[in-house]
Amino acid sequence: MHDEDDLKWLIAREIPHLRRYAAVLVGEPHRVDDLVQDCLERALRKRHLWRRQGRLRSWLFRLLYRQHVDSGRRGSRRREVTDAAAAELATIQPPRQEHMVQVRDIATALRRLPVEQRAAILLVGLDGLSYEEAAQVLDVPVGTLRSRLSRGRDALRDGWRPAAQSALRRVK
Amino acid sequence: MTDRHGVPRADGPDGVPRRDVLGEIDLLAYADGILDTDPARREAVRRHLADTPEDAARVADFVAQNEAIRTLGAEWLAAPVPTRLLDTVYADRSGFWRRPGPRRVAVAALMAIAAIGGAAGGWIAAAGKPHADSLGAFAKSALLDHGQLPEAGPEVDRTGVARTGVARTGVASHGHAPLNWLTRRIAVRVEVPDLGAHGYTLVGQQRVVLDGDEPAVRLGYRHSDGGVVNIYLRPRWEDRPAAVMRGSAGAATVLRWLDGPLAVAMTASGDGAGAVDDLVPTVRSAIAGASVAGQRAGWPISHDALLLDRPPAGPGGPAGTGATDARGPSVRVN
Repeated sequence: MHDEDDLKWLIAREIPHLRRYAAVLVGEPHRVDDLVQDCLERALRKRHLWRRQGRLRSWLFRLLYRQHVDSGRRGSRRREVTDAAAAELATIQPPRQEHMVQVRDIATALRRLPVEQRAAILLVGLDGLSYEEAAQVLDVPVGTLRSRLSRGRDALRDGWRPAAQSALRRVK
Repeated sequence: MTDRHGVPRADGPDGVPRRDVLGEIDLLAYADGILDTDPARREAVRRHLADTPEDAARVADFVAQNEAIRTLGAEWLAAPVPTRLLDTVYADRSGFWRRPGPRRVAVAALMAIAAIGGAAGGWIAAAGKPHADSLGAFAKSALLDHGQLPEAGPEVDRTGVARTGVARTGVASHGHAPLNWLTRRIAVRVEVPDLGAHGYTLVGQQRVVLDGDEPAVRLGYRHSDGGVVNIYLRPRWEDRPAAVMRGSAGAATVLRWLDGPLAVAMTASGDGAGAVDDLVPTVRSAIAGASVAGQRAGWPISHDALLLDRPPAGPGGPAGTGATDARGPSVRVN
């Protein structure tokens, strides 16, 4: 019983990370909490499948990603996500004006990536997962993850360029 | 041997990774900070980048991408967790109704199914703030569904409306199954309001799919004079006040708004259309009452606070001004 409570406590701590990942992955803020809720319900139903040697967050990300991909397959009628939706995502960010254009544009560029590449980039770049963890979340070999990261980031470069100062500062 | 970016491949002819050759994965790992725990490798990549401006620019862009993406997601990490998500985790089915505090959301429905014939002819759109477009699409779907329902047929209240082209009946609608489904979704109990004082009697509840894949619950009421009103309820959290917006299509009227975990669209036509406004305070008061008693509070519940028949205005007011609904066939502000 206590184990159950502890697991629920642990899962609840991951909700902000799930919401953030879902928000940027899906690009439609109004769908975020529905997707996260579906993920949480599934996690609770399948909690006996979580092997405790792995990170709980990675397991939840895996559930959420599968949920999103599956819903996309089912929903062939689902509307196209527009650039306006990506801009909408950007509008709810903190009012750091100097970043707003960059943030809006990266949201738009992300939306144009295949979901596999977008998911890979977000797991590593947004949530800081190791390559091994990210590969496990996506259920692919590390080589495939590397390929998705590489192709996705190069595609992002085509649609989005950072402010020069920021990029150079970080590389030095 | 190099890859398509000209970076030497890190694996040798035998497929075994070579420690002395940098690969593309090294560039990615450098950008992602993964090499921070391997100073020697990191220094090797740094030297390579110093000698290879093209790779340096590429890696710099990768770093900047990560930075922008983290900025993009920052607000979500800091935002309060919606109550319904916490309830999803902590509520178990056996103990769900024993949680402390009365938590009820009341909803009303009404609609007059006079023929409204066809697609929407007018619409209020409220873009310009997050979610407005989605809510408008939801209300439009409700209005179309309303128009295609059989006119006041007895099947409205029982085994589901036949496929209408807009709404698809998801499950059998006997008893309280649809509202129970909604309750599970939002972790707040939903009850059918008593609209008897307005002359309406509940005739059925159904789970339908509107607006693409979004499931919703439709509550149907019938007036003693034959008029009918529908209310469509869809889980959708919006933790801030939202005004009631009006749209129309031919003789039909739709009102839509957000209340905590619910998006609400109320449709009416014929004689019921004129009376639908009168039901709004009752419905919203019931929902807000549940909020005060439960975990949500502070939403406008007085009729004065509702915005009817005029566009939103002023800071902090209802969503959007003057923008058009990208999905609506034509836009008309009543």
